[in-house]
Amino acid sequence: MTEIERRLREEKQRIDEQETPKELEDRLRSALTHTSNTKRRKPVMWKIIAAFFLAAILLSYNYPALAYYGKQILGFDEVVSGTLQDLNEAGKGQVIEESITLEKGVTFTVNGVITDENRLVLYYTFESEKGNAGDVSSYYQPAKLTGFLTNSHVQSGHGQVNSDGTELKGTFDFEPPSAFAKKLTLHFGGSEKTLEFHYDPFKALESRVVQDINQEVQVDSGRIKFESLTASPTQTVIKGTTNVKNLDQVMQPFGRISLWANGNKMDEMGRGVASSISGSTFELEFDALPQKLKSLNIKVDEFIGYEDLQAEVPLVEGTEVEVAGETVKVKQITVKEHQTEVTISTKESVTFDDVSLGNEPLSTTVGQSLKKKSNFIEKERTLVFETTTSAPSMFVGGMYYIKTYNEKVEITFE
Amino acid sequence: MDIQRLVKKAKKGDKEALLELIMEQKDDYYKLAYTYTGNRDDALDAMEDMIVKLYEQIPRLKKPGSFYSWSKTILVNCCHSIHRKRKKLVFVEDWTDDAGISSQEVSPIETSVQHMHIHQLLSKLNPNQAEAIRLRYFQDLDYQSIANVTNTSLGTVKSRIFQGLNKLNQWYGGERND
Repeated sequence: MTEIERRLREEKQRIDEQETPKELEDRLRSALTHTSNTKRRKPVMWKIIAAFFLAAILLSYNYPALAYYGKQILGFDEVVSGTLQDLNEAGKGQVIEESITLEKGVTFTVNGVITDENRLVLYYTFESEKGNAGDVSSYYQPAKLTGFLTNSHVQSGHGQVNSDGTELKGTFDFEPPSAFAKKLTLHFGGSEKTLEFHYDPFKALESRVVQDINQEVQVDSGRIKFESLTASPTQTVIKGTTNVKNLDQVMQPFGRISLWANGNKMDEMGRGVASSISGSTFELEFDALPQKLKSLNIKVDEFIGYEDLQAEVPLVEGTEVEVAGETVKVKQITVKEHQTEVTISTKESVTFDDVSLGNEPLSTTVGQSLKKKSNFIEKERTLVFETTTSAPSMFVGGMYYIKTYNEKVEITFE
Repeated sequence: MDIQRLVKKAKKGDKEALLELIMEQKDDYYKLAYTYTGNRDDALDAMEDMIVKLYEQIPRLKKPGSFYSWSKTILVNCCHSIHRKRKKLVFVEDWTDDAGISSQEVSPIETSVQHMHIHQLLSKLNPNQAEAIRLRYFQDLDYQSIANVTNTSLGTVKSRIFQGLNKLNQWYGGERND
């Protein structure tokens, strides 16, 4: 054992012999007494406190938005007003009155906004000292509104110039902004300048109602399904789907679908169709619903129809044939080097399907023209077949046309 | 004594329960502290620091059953920090060379001088080597236990003790030659 080890063992013995001092307990107790509780926080408490503050900040900041969505959820969904002008006169919407000078002598003022589920309507004034308000306004067209979670493009607009051309007043429709946006920035097409204004969803948003319709109308070769109706103070939008193919075979197939409120036909404001492999979705826009709604229904007066004909149209110039109640005129037959051209005319809404001459299917249709007749529009076109074989008649497999359905869909309000 | 119950009370902020837990093994705590500090006052200071830390940190103790091992780890850390403070305050000027021992530290009582020597010599060592030697000789731990306590491998522990003892012998020899 080395000297140092001997010393270490001695020290060990000395440590073992140490009596724990009597005052240990008192000293520990006094140390504890002087310890405050402030450092004793459980980590889980921190999380709860942090979560509480975060929730408080979010809730208070977005109270209007929450109140807005809360209303919908809780069903305060009465439809309150009429058209834009009514709303304006009733003092609804948010007054803004923010201006920007776009160039010397030209100012643009946002007078106010009204927002709802479907759109934001911006009331504006263009002023030009030179008296060319109409011209400068077309150069400085508003392009979009940006803000928190918001990128709303302009959709349409209109305005009216005063007699001396110094002022243009009107409205622009934008896609609706996010209910969480607090500030909106207006961007112009012809200028880098932007106009920022405070946006208060609480004032600008109006209640709306979304009503499930979920009713179908059977038509030839498919169905139209009306899925929902979104009524806001400025607009009524009906959304739906259809599995009918070849919607483009007639002009504006949804043009004869109307909305009736309290027995009155609503003005149609627009419509759109988007097609995909599985079918098409459509949106029909009408004016705002009346305040006191007693009845509401959709009428499908006419829609695209398909008639299976399997008919022969005799190819004699100047003949008129009746197929499925529609008149077909054979106007001219021309046999060229490699092809035969047959010029026919029908009602505008009629399109033939599965047409062939002899065994040769229709190659293309050219030279289509419309002629206004006394009570209908006549459509003339030339059917081209890649054959010179003469045939006594032309085979027509089927026909797309505007068919009268007169179907009615009642929308019940809960 | 119901350790689990006392730990639960201590977690809720019962200071007496915490004190009771410590006093239950006061000799173990004290000897451990003494092993590291080598003197009574520093051992008591370390234990004071420990109980304050325990009180602050016990809400985060997940397993009540591991209270004693957990609290002793904290005590060792407290001893280390006291040691660091002492080193700054005393050692730099007092320990003049490898072998010399400051006259200020020499107590008139012979045994005390010798005990101080061994602790002073240990403090001069690499702290890891000193800790391993302390645990080996003062706490009578085997190599594997030391490896577990200091979170190192068995080989490292052996090497630390060997190197440490070598140095101590060297210094001690130097002292003897004075």
